[in-house]
Amino acid sequence: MKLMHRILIGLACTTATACATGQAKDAGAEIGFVATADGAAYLYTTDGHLAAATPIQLQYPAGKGAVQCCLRLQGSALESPGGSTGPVTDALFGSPVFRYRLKRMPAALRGDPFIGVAVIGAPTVSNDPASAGTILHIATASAGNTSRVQTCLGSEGSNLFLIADGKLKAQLYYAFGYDVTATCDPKLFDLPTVQ
Amino acid sequence: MANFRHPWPINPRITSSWPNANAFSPYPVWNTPSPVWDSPFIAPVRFVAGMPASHAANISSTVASVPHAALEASGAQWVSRYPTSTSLGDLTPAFSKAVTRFIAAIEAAGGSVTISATYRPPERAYLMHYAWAIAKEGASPTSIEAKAGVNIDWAHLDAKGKSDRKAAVRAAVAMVNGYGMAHSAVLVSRHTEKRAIDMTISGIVGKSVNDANGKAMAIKSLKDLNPVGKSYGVIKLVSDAPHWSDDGH
Repeated sequence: MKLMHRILIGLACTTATACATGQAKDAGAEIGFVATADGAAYLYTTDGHLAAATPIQLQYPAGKGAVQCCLRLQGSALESPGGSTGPVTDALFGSPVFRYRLKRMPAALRGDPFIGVAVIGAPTVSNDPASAGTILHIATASAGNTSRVQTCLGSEGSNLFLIADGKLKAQLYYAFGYDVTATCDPKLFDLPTVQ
Repeated sequence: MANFRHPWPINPRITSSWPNANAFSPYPVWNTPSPVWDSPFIAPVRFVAGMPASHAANISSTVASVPHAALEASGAQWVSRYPTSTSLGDLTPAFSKAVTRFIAAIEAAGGSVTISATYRPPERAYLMHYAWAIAKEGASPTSIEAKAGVNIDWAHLDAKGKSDRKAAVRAAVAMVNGYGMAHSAVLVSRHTEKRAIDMTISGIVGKSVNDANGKAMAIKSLKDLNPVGKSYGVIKLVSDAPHWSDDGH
């Protein structure tokens, strides 16, 4: 299992490196959720037209509650999208959310139910080591331009923010369908929105 | 058993030992020798001092004695029971009326509303909470308190009152998976109190919605709906996009 895991990651990284060279600078990084259910993995995002060469980076579980960043895939690893009426919504603009099924379930996502962060269209994503997987930094081409993806729990679901230069560019919400203990810093919801 | 993998900081409740300060007082199960409740019936729940009143209201302190034979072993078959409602009629009358008016205003402005949850039965929350506790937090299946109306045998007891712990844990895991749980469920919420609604609002950005006073409010982003909802008595909980309640919690 561990060997399979390493092989998968190695192959994915090789592929991603190749595809990253053709990627437009830092334009248009997007966020999404990756979730597993019934032996399949799904990507939820507001982009219904992901190109085959689009780099996609997915968090994956690392045991004992830890999470790793990131599995690297391309858009070609996804089936055609379907419209989604839940559990993910665009909390900022109410745009439609699309659900992509991964053609093959990555070994690293097999096991217990998992919900994690996906970053789409960014060549390089790194985990904030002090954040326990709640903050990912997106490398950007332009100097001084900083972007990060942040996640936290609301009272009954997970919030996912894309924040650039202190402004909220996107916010998705994954509804669990039951109530949990919230962890979100209320300040996140007061960030100005990029119009 | 594999641990569940959290992409977020683990809830302190999950990391604490079981039972913990947040948990209810385990009741003396009927297969455990007890000078008072040594009988083939579930003992009434005992409450510890300082337990939140809301919890006390949610978990009956007068659980009727239930014969062992009347209990049904835990397992995936429980998952479909006590379903979440999407009916406005299952909310408190006052909140139902407020939400109905708010939704009418949104739809009149050209938006659309999809309701995903109104009332969540406390029984469902109870089943989810303790299934998680057994499956993921190491709670003893023989120490789970009873809840009135939910005749579940968490411990998988045989006729002699002996627990089959492996079967009990397997059953709890099946329930957690059946519910698709990624986190522990809390026992009490505005949904269990019939005072909250989850609804997805779409097609409203760029339009104007009348508030309860008839004033047209421009909606540039979904956040602009918050004051509109408030005017109807439907208060936004900003941390949860679909969630509105009568007090913002």
